[in-house]
Amino acid sequence: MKIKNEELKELVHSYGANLRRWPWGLRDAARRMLAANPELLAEAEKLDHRLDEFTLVSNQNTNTELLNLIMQSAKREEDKKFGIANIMFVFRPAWAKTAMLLLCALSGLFLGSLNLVRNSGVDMIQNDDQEIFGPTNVNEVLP
Amino acid sequence: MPHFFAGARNYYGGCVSFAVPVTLKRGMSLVVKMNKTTRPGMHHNENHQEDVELMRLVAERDMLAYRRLVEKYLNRVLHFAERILGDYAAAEDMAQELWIKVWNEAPRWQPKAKFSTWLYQVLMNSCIDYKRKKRPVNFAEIEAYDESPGQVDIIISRQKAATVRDAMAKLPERQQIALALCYYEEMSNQKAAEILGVNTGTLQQLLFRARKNLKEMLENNNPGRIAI
Repeated sequence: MKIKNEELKELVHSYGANLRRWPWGLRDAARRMLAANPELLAEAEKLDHRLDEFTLVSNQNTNTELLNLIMQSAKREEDKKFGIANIMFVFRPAWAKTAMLLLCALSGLFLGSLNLVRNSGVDMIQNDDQEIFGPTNVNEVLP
Repeated sequence: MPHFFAGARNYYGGCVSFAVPVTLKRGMSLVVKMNKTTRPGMHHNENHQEDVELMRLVAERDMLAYRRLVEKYLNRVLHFAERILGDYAAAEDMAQELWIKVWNEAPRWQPKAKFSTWLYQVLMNSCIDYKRKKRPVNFAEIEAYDESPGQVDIIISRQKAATVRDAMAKLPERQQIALALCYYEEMSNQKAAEILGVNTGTLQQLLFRARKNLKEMLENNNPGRIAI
């Protein structure tokens, strides 16, 4: 691949002096052209050198402790999933939501039926009598 | 006993072959043999097939596969996060958060893109969110140096590192990430562009502006005007 001088300048100022960081297809052409432009290369090398001064703390540390922490976190996440409160969330498909709604509906019907039983039978007849004949006292009627 | 073993690797170009015997949960064993041709500038331990296999096992909640994956990428994740956040403690937090996300997302993960590309994308977004939420780190507060004679070289190198780190922190996010990926991580321009969600031309422009801005800041030792 052929590179124009202007392009070379832009490429050097984008990727730096080390061809290892350049796009694969441009390296051979760039190597030849940079040999003929040492001042361009020197300018990029100067900035590369400054950038290389940015050393990292993570380079000096062994990360065994962090690795163990990450493994423990994953284990905790897994344990959480088997908690009773989260059982429904393990199975997320639509049937789970439908089942939940059905359960609510059945609970409603059950509670409703309890209320009906309480208001049925003697209580309801007594209420009706009270409405028609007024309040009755059983002791007054019976001898 | 489940185990992983990455066999002999040749990192100096040419054909690389290695085997990953993986003992599955049900006692079945699987050996993933891989051959690939590496190119200079490509991450040497990057292997898409191995990652896909490991992620499949992680989705089945195989802790050893997860450990292998974390070990493989932990250093790179930490380096990238520290470059972007400028703080090692924050980078450690970020790495922990990231790997929990990987664990939780594994059952839903599809190998549409390379695992490493996806990992860097998640990490990049987490770092951006973190930077936007957190107050800027006051490095002067956390860097109290021991100024004994033997420590002078260390102090000088730390100060130089701090100068570049502070200059990098002043770059626009995308320029900073482009530089971290292409310069410090030595990633191929296609992969870096894919992570950033731009084409290679845009990536080159980002790198050009990043280096230009850094050069001005480091030469003048002040932030000046930053070209976006």
